[in-house]
Amino acid sequence: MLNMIGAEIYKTRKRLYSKIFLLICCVLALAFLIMMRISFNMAYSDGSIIDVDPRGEMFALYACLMMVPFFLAIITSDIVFSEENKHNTMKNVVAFGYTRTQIYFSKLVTALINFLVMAVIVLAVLVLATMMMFPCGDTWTFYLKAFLVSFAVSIPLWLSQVAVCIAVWCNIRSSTFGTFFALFLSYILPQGLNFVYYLTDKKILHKIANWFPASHLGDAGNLNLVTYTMNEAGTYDVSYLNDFSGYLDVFKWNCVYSLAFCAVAVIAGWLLFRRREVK
Amino acid sequence: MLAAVIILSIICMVLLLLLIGEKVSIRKTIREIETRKAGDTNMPLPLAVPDRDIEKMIACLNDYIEQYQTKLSYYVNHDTDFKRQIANISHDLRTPLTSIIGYVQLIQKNSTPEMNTEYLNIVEKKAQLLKSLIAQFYDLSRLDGDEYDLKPERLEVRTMISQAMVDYYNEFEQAGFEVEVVLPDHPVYIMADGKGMMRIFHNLLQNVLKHGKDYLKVGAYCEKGKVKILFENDALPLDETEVAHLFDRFYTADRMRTGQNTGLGLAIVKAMAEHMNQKIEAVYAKGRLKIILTSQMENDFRNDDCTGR
Amino acid sequence: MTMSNHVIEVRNLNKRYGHVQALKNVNLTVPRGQIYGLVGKNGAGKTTLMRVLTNQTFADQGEVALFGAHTEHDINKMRRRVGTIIEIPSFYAFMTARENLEFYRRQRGIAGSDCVDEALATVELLDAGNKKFKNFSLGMKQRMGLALAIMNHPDMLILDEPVNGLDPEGIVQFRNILLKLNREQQVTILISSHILAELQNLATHYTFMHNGAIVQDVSEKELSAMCQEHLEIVVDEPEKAATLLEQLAGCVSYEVLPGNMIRIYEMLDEPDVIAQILIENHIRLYSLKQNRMNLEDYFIDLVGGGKNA
Repeated sequence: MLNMIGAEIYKTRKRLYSKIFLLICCVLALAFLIMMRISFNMAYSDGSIIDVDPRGEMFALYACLMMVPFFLAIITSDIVFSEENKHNTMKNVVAFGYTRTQIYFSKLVTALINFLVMAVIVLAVLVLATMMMFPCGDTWTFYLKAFLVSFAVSIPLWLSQVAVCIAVWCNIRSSTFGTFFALFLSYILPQGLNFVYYLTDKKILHKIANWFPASHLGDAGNLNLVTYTMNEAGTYDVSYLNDFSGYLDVFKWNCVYSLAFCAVAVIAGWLLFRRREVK
Repeated sequence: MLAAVIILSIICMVLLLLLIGEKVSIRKTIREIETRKAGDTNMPLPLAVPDRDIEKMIACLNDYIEQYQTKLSYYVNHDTDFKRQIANISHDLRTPLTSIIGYVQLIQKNSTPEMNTEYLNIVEKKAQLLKSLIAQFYDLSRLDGDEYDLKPERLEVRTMISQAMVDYYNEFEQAGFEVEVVLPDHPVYIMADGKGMMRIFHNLLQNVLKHGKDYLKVGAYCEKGKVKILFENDALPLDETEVAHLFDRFYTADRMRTGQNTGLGLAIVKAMAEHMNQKIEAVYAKGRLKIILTSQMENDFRNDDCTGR
Repeated sequence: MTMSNHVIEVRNLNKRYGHVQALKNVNLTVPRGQIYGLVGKNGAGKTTLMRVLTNQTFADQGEVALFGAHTEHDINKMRRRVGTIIEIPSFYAFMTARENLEFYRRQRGIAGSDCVDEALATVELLDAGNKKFKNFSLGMKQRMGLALAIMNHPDMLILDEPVNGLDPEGIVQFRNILLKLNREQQVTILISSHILAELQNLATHYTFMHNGAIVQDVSEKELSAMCQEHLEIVVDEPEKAATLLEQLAGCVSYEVLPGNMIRIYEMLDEPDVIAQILIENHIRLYSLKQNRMNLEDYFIDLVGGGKNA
């Protein structure tokens, strides 16, 4: 199996598509940051709010960015898989004696590795750019720590997404349909359940929706990193979050939901794939 | 603190996995080698884990195994060839001997004196043939065993060819051959054993006499520092396989005509040539068979191309 | 590991696709060192059989054994020893030929990257090594498939219509490579085709399939004997003619065919005798010719009509 993983990594390296995609992600992230910088400059130029740390808002926004790797997971899975279906190359692998199980799990591991590598690169670019575009003097250690913690907390969610994608792609031939189905399973379904819950107030739906990792993407952003309290002078006091233990709780629950979801996805995908006919 | 512990434990796990990978690799390789020993398959040893060093080791082992297998099959083939040679030798000797015995029996049955003389002539011819056959076998086996004493000396090619042609002139003329000799207009030297070269020429010319129709061209020319001696004759159609096996022992285009035709003459030519570090090849095109003997030029000066193609 | 003399053993294989029974109680054994030709029309089940043999699909019932291994786990281990080409060879379009083979080399755990260039050289794609696969012609794709199949020095090749789309020269090259592998490395080959003429120069054994079942299993020698030379006559009263031939000419080896045709396998050099017998007995003889049946006719006969295979 290790041979298969090594070979897949070789293939990803040779694929221009993956490098271009990575580049585009970084460029988009930078563009986003530049836009934020400009809008912040414009927002604070009239002097209405003074002495407010812009990164407070900034980091709230980052909570939304937690979702981006989620979709990155879909793309990396596509990279591992799409050519197989289009070009029927799976027959070469099975003819050599690799079982469906071996194929499935090596694809899974490759996708995870690919995803981690890409995510690390994109996020490193983001962090560095933020440090450069929003200089914060002494408090940069705090922000860096907060940043990294929020990412760490969300990693299990992203990884479970990769697992779902692999499960879907192994069993569905068409790439487009696969993408939609993966999105549906991971994102649309829980949102839909929550929506119906809001309408009908059936608690059970909310409970089910809770078990989908996608519902917890925003959790890291819900904790207030920076609190502004209005004081007597009419200005804002800034207090920074000292205790990160709140995150630990979030992390614990994220892990639970992700592992459960992962397990279900991996096992379902594996069972379906085991007796699949290869074109 | 926690971070340091986590990072250390990750490193430990990675190292452990690498170690396990190597052990698994080694065990699998041992199993595979056992399978190869049982002689079951031709396949190279597989690589269980993508580790660079183990890959190099396995590639080395595969090369070694391949070498071994090549040597083994060479010896097996040689053995088979050798056994076949012995069978062929006895077959080839048996025919003239049987014939001789037949004629002797005829003589014993009291035929007329004229018939006896005729029979005795035939018996003598056959006995001579037998003698030359045995001599050829003997030569070949000596060449094989490297026992032939070949003393290389500086010889002039044109002189050798002319000498050989003079020896055979009458025979070719009687057989009605059109003979063409094309030689360069300056001396060309090679390092070879005189007797060996004459032997080669004699065998090749004999071959042409036996199998050619009515045309022979003998020539020498230089090409890129090498001297090429050419014997060209028209011949019955030969296909690729026959040309490829021309210098093999006991391979004749029409094996049925044995007795006269043992096919050893060309085998001796090849063995002799190779012992003198020369290359010999046969090319068949447009009804003409060309046998080309290539050797290193030993001239004082080296010109790439001398005339006399 | 048990050494079985049979490379492939298939027993009672059944496979259904929807309403169609693609394989009906198929039994097949392929011994070592043979070249088995699998002949059948499109849809006869050849590809299905090969897909079952190469793990692409699963049989509903029946057993398959490869190199003596019966359990699925063992068979998968044995699959390394098999090189395959099923339908059109598939590779990654965005990578060059060399990169494609390198990918599979790593995946299959083959040590040493020389084998990639070696395989490309054998199928004569070495100069196209750096060309992207999406730019390959069909003939080149077929050759790539073969390169992948032989890269691991397999003990067996399973080829499904591998020469579909090659030009005549390519087909000859392909055949030569297969023959060389079979002779020099004792590679067993199972090759299917509906271009019967191709198999004629290659196979040592023929298996005919029709509608998912094996209809005949015959060695090349037996088939040659069956497709032997014969006299073909067309008469107005075949029954009477047959009886006459039996009684008056003692001819027992014949066959009566539709269209008032009789094939006679003896008395091949006495067509005049046959003609005379018939004419004297007032049988109208419309045509008399000497024929040699080829594989195509034999096959068409066997599966009962139908124009093309």
